Amino acid sequence: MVTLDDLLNMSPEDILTYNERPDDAGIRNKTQLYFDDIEIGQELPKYIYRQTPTHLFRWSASIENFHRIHYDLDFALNHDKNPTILVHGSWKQSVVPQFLKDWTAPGGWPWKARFEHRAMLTPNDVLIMWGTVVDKSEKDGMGIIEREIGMKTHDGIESMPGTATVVLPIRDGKEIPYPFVPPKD
Amino acid sequence: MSQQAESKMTPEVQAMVGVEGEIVEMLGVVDEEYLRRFAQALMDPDPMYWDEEWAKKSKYGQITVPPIMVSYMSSRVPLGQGDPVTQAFKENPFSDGIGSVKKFGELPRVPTDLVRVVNGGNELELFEFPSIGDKIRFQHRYADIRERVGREGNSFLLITRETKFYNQDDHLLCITRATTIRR
Amino acid sequence: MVRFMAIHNVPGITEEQFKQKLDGVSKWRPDRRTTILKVYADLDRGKIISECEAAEQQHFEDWIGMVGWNVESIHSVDVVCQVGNFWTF
Repeated sequence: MVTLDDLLNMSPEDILTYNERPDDAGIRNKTQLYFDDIEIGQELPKYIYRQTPTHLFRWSASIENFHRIHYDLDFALNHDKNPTILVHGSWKQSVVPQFLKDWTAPGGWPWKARFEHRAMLTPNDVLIMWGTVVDKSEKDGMGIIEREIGMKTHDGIESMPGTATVVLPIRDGKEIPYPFVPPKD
Repeated sequence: MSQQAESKMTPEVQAMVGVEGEIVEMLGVVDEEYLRRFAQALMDPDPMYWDEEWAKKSKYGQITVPPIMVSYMSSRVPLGQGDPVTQAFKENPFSDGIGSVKKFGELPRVPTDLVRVVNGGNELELFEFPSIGDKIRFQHRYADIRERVGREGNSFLLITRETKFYNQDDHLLCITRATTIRR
Repeated sequence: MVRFMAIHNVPGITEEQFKQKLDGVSKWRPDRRTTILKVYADLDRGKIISECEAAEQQHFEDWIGMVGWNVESIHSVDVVCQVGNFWTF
């Protein structure tokens, strides 16, 4: 697996060739990760995106968000003084649970995440959704994995620094309950 | 001796902690068409969203939708309530496009003279994936308000608004929290 | 943030050379607060006009230095008409 540092040393065009977002088949064939096999410092697959203005329009339409900064270039440049139309914070926010869900599937659970919105992102930016395991523990027979997460641009700007807690089953242990019941402290 | 910053955590501000908005039932139900557009725009190809046979064999037992999709469904404005977009531009030719859109279940304003608003971060907590046909209710609450002092010695407030989303069976599906900085 | 424009004299510049100066995000967005919004080129006469949004003129000048085009004059922009809309800065 290519590391985040490797990617950040590549050109934007080269970064795009390392997208590890699973397709339909990738999700169907995903094998379960177990708590036992996870190592501190382990990097997660990198989700790579490059939005176009049409992608931004599609997101705005799908959630009925008519904020002009995302599709009206004239307004974005001259009223809000933004560099161009901007990638939605709401889209970034929705990538986070997808990113967690895919990694924990099929039997784990994408429990929670916390993040901040920092740099403005534009259609020309190549975006890297990344995560690194920073801690692990067992609680109530469940494997708790703590991660640092973020979405960096191709030039290394962190646009969404955050943390996430996900749950993986312990090998030969119990199933993670669904609906999810958080472990007792 | 430096002048102490004037505290912005007044009794009136403190009293807002825990204030809840009305419980709002979302327009319609979680539907396939919203799911289709949302999942495509999100670029999430998960067969859980569209392959009924595969979804039935999963631990979820049925088609589910992207985890926080329901948090955007509250933007749906029912028919018969005027046209918010036309209204927005009638009120302000330089409207940003969202100014007049009515938001349901909104909380009362925190009574502070700090007017500059900056995004201070978001949190998500997931418990159950919503399903097609779910009737969603949500409620906002001021979960926390804290005061901090900035580098220049001025006080600012961190206001956390929490929203809980439930389905028709009163299952808590997810919680979203948004913190704004008022300075 | 302030809007600026500059007039450059770059005799003999080719389309390829012009594109090469601007063909990456970091070339027209040298930092997160400086954006080169639009650049016009009259290649025959070697005349270029660039438009920039930046926190201060020095940041625009830094970009001009990076791109290496001779600058005839730099102006701050007070008002723009774009596709029939007027914007005052």
